[in-house]
Amino acid sequence: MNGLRKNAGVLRRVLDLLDHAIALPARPLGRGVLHACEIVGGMSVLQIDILRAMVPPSFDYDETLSQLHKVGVRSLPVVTLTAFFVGALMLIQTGNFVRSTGATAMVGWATGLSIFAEVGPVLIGLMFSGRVGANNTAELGTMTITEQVDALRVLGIDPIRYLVVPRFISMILMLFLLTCIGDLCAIIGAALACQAILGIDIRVFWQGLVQGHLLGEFVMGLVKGTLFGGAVAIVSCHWGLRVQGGAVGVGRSVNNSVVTSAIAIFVVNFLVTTLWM
Amino acid sequence: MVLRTQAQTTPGHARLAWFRLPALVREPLLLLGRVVRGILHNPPPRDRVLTQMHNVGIRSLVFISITLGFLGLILVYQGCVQTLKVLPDLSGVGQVFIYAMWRSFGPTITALMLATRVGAGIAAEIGSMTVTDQIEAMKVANADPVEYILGPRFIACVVMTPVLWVVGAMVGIAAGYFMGHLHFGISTRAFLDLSSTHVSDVVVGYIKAQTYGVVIPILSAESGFRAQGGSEGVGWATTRAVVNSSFAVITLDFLISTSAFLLGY
Amino acid sequence: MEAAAELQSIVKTLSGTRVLEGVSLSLARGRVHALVGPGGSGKTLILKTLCTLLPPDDGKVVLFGEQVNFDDQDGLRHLRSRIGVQFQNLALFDFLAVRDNVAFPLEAGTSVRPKVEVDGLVQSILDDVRLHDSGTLEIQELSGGMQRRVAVARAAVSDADLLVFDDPSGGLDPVTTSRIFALIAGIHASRGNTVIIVSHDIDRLARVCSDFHVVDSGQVIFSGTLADGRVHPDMRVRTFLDVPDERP
Repeated sequence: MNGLRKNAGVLRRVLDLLDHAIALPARPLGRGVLHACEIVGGMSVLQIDILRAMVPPSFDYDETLSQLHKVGVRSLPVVTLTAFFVGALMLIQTGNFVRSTGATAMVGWATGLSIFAEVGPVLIGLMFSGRVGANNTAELGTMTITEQVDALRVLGIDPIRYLVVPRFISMILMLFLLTCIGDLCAIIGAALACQAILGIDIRVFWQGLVQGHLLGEFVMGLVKGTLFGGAVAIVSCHWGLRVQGGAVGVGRSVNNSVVTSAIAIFVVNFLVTTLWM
Repeated sequence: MVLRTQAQTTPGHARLAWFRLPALVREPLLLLGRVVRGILHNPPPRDRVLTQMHNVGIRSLVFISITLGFLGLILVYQGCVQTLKVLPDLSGVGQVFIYAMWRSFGPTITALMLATRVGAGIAAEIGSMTVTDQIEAMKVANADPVEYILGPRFIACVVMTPVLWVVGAMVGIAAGYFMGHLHFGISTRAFLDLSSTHVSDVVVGYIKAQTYGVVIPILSAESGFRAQGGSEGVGWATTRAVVNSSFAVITLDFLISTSAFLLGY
Repeated sequence: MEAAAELQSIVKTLSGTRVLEGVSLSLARGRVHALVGPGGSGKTLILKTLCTLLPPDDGKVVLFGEQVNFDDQDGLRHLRSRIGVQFQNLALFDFLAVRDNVAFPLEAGTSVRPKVEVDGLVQSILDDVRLHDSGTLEIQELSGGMQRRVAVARAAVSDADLLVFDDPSGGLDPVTTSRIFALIAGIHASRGNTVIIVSHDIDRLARVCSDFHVVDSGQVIFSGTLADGRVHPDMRVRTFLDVPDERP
């Protein structure tokens, strides 16, 4: 009897130890998973709310126009400049292979492919999320903590229809257009770098680009841009509307917003490419 | 605000020498000078540096792994699909991919991710301290805010960025390997072929990562110190930090890649 | 009487607006001064100039008998070690616990004090503000009144020659307000340093302060005792200081 009790004590201690050993990594892991589920769930609800407000369309047209203007004007300079450098960058990356293999005809095709299909939309999307998405979170966040959003609700105005839908529409439309413009700038940057740094004639680059039949990739890039726009809009509005705790909270929310946007962009990019091709 | 007063208090001749550089470049350089001088003159206590290293390094691990993992998957997928259009042989994809992860995509995408996570974090923290007068309170208490706040964060970024580059490149390569091996059936030996990756590629990648590690905290902190007004100021600073550091990463990538290419590395 | 701090025709322009238009102010040593005036008249900016945080565009700042040179970082550091400030929005460090916030002016900077001495000073000032058992709490865990008391404690901990309190009772209930003013009076009584307080609470200021300074639209329009101010020819001074005297 006594021995049994002693054994039970030992058993309990072993179980306790095991419990600790499992709980040590499991607790933060579980918390992380729950947290991620909460974020994804919140954003899905927001997405449904947005769709409900759009079919049939009932949202603020003036606000949409002013958002279109703001989003476009804010992000155009930084996006075009980034795209220009990215184009040149992609060209230089192929440069090393051209030097070792001598395949100058491949330059135009390889650069165009990487710009249109992957690097162009992703980097433009990341810059867009940094410029417009972060700004949007900060703006909505400030409105939330100064109780302007509550004031809208009290006045019987639905913040989703008044604030979120216009932003959603303008970001989608603008990132689509910005991807077009950005692709163009990137190609110009690449062509210039081709001549200036690699010393290959622009015509060779151009020929490779045209003969590469990259229309499919170009269209895929635009689809990606559109989807990234929607993702950035939902993520940034989601974080903006749930800011808590003053200036510190706004900063933290903007940080979370850009991080979530970056993850969303990479995941969406992966899904589009694998489903498309 | 802080930086502007600092510029006013620099002696006349020093101001003249900097005068020609645009403010966008000059003020970060001045800040870099101040933080390096501060660290050499009065090294921050080890526990604060370690806390920041944990914040910059460990807490970015999941984020860097997710993004670089998806990058690896997609690069290999695209590489294989495009190669199959011309050649039936996929054995070259792995070596080019590994080369790119070390030299170009690895450091740059890691740095862009750090600019969004760590850079925005630094700007948000310093920005909210600036708009709530904590920076001024520090000055009255005779603690140099640049040295006290930025010092440990700067050291942490300088040390951890190359580390995260290595981690990111490894995770990306591992993800790419799974895609290549499981989905396209490239053999392990053919995929993990290091013949295209030279020491010079790793050195160029390291130089990039190290440069980004210096630039991101400086540009982000500069935005934070310039915050004005309440929460709007903090939001403005955070946005500016992400945009400026991301843009700086891409520009520097261009400069370093071009120089390396022209020098023949 | 000798002045602990003096501003001589200070002019300051911020983002295109002239916010201080020739402020002249003299703070007699060892007395408690009140700085009053309508919102947006420049009180906080005057305090920031006094704490050497805001370099003026024109005019002189004289602290403890010497003119402040805003280009001399070492000189500023020396002066700042003799000033304690409680900021309008408190400016408590949200990454430090209460005890470390209060100890910050003692531990940061160049002055090296033994840890025992720092602990002793912090504990005694926390006792004074009745927060002796809250030292390990985080700032976010405190109520508004407790945060104000921590800020007051941080300003007063280093036994500075000039203590600056910017609205020590803002947004607090009457009981806590009285307690904070009593606390400031107590600090002054035991140390005899020069104190300047910004507040809108004229009747509580009247119990603590001996000198009143009235600010309006970027200028000091009156300096003197409360009794003088109430019979001053300028309407603005009279209206601002004229509240029923509640002293027994």
